[in-house]
Amino acid sequence: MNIILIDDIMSVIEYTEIKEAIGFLFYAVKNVYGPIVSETLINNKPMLNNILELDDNNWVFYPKYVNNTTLKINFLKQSIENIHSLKKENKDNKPFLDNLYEEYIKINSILIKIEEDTDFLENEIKNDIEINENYTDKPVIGIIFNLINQNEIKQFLSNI
Amino acid sequence: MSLNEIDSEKQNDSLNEIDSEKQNDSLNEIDSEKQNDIKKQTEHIFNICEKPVMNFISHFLSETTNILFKDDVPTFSEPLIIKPISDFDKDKVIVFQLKAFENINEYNINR
Repeated sequence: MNIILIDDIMSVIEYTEIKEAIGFLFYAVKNVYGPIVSETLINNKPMLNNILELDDNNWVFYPKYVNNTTLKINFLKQSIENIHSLKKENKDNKPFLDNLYEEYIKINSILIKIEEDTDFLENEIKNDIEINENYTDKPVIGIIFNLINQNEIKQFLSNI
Repeated sequence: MSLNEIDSEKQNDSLNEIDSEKQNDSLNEIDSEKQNDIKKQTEHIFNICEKPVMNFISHFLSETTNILFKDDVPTFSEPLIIKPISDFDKDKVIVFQLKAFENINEYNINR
């Protein structure tokens, strides 16, 4: 990467607006990646085990292999977080809260059961690490950064 | 019950109906506004990410996009533009774009 660009990035990286923009791109990529992966025409959806992680120092999304069990655990944990948020938003709706609690019990019991088998999980994670060591030359999604004078923005956009 | 009382009850009922209709209308308006906002935000994030994500998957699986996807890859990827940060440079906007690269080296050379 050229030195001028590094200087530009280093000069803006601490601004809240920049952090928010990177955060928005992270949110956007996460939300678009899943639906596109699930629509690929290849059988057995080979990308399902490859998630995108953000390296926020280098502003790049890189692929990371994650085994099925960990994916399931992450999904269940996210569901529990969602239940907690819904609980806060609907604290006056008792029938809804009762249903939520039932869901929570179900999800939590599945989670506990999966996490009990620590040997299996450790092996899966070890396998992930080995696979990810071979991912150093895999494709990435990079964040391209430009500083443009306000009066040049139209011209810049027309050239994209 | 006197006639006046019956009248007053009827009036109350119809007023309640009108109130309830009004409430439903405004709830529907809020719902539809919310749905529009969600739709706009979804379109926005897809405009930014669809092209790079599809190209990334194509690079990763070493397959052409027409084999991988029913839809064509969009020709344009919307940039994310940040207004000038006054403490930094009040004349410059900051433009972010996402792009898929074959590997990290290609990204480091091109960014």
